[in-house]
Amino acid sequence: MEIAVVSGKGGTGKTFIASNLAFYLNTRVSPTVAVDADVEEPDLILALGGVKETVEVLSIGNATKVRIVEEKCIKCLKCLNNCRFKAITLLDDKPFVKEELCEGCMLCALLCPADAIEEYVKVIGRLYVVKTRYGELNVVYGDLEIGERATGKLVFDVKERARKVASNIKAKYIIVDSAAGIGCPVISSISGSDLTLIVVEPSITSITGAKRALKIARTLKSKPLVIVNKYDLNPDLAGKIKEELDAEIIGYIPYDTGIVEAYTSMKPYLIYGGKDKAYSSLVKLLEDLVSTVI
Amino acid sequence: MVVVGVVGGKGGTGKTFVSVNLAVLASRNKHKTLLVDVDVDNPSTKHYLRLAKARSREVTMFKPIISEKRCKLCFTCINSCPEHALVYIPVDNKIKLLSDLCSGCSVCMYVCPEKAITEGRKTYGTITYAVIDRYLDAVIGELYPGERHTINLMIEVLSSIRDMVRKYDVVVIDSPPGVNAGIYEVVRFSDKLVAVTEPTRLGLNDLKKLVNLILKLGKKPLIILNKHGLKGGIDSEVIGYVEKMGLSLIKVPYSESIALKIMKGEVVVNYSEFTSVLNAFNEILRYVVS
Repeated sequence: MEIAVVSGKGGTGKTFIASNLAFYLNTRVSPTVAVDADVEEPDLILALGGVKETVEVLSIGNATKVRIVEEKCIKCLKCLNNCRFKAITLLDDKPFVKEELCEGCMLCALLCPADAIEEYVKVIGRLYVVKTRYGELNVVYGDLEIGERATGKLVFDVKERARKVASNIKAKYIIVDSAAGIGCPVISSISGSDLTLIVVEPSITSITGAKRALKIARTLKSKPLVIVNKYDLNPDLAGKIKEELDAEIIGYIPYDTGIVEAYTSMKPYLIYGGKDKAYSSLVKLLEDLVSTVI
Repeated sequence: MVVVGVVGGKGGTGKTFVSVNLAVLASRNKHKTLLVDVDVDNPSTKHYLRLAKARSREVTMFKPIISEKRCKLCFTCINSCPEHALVYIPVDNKIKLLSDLCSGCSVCMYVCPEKAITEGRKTYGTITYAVIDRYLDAVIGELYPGERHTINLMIEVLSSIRDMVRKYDVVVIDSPPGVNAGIYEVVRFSDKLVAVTEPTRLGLNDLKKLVNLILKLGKKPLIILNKHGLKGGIDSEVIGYVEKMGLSLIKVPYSESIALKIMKGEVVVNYSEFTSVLNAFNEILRYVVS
């Protein structure tokens, strides 16, 4: 079973929910693989207390890029004028390719009358399979070169590798911690999942983001369930979320600085936070989720 | 005129909070200010402001239109499409576009020997231009849910304001989380950069990536340590890192009453009781206009 954790707005608690759900399932229910699908900023492993052992490192995202051969270029600017991604700009009166914007479509090469466009392949990221220090949970994550963009394809590759790991260790669950937003990488995170957990906080901006994420989950036929995090910071608005989103809410978790402290001490919250405010509501939510949905 | 890019790396560190409060404070000081929201996946500056005289325009991108009449089914387009977005459907005996896969590169149109492919347009988002008050205007990009062209839209928003920015004293750009090609463009576009972080391990981890990106482009960010004093936080580690990098830092304090104001969609600098927040923003504004 695949479960995606999304939010729309950043900072609502995706990584908090995903890390604890994966840790809980793995230690108490059945072997689990956790996936960090935020390939621009993979932080899931930090919330799980760090790496015990790196099992595998692979190159991912071989991307086609182009460069302009200066000696051949006749400065007709056909490349610059026709690139749909605005990836070519003028630098000292010469066309110059902004590498990170280049999609590798090769239209410029097709149109260049001087054969001045050269193609090359760039590895834009690495994929890691690791075991965590606490509970030996298998985590699969991608890490991109700075400035490269996360694409749906990259997230798909990371998830595919996680599925292989899951089948090797006979894991029953795959938990996908998505990036913020609702763009291509998030669509890819949700795509193919059975369940989408939408983490929302009682702020106007988070509710708007959640609505957008909800729309995508429904389109992709992944069952959406909502978790209201930090509900006690704004109880009035928290009470209106059910009505606002028109979706099933499976739990309310209070704001707890113990979560920050757990990150600080590099321990999973479920190990660190036994006496903290959010602990009992989190455990109840996880128990309910396991007994009723999963 | 000064363009300030507000960036942050991790989500939820307070980019929008800083952008909106900085823009409001600047306009209150009679600087003609433009607030630009390029967090097109989830633009949220609008929730803090009352938009007047808002007009929106649709943003479009290339989409191939295939003329069945002209198409001789040579498959050159299918073989040239880098995204594999064109497929042959045997039962219909025609070539079909899988719109979700199309990146809009237009290679198919150029390679077709029959000139059977022409330029069509597909709408994937909007840009809204609005007036907030006498000294404050806003430009907001918004991606249609389900569309994947986040970075294209960010670049469209930035190009659309290129000629407008001259009319303003201060331009504040609110950006999405992450460190990608879109953030590159925000950094390139901006004269000054403000990187918003929080005292958590996740925040610091992402800040380091972001600072590397900014330094790589030959610029230096001002670091805002938001939520300073958050219980259990790693403030001293963040401050130590910023000092080591030789960067300046301004602290914005944390309290639950500030968090509640933000969650309710309020502009904190409009409330006189949050003196320490106001002081911090005055300091940020001085840096911006200096």
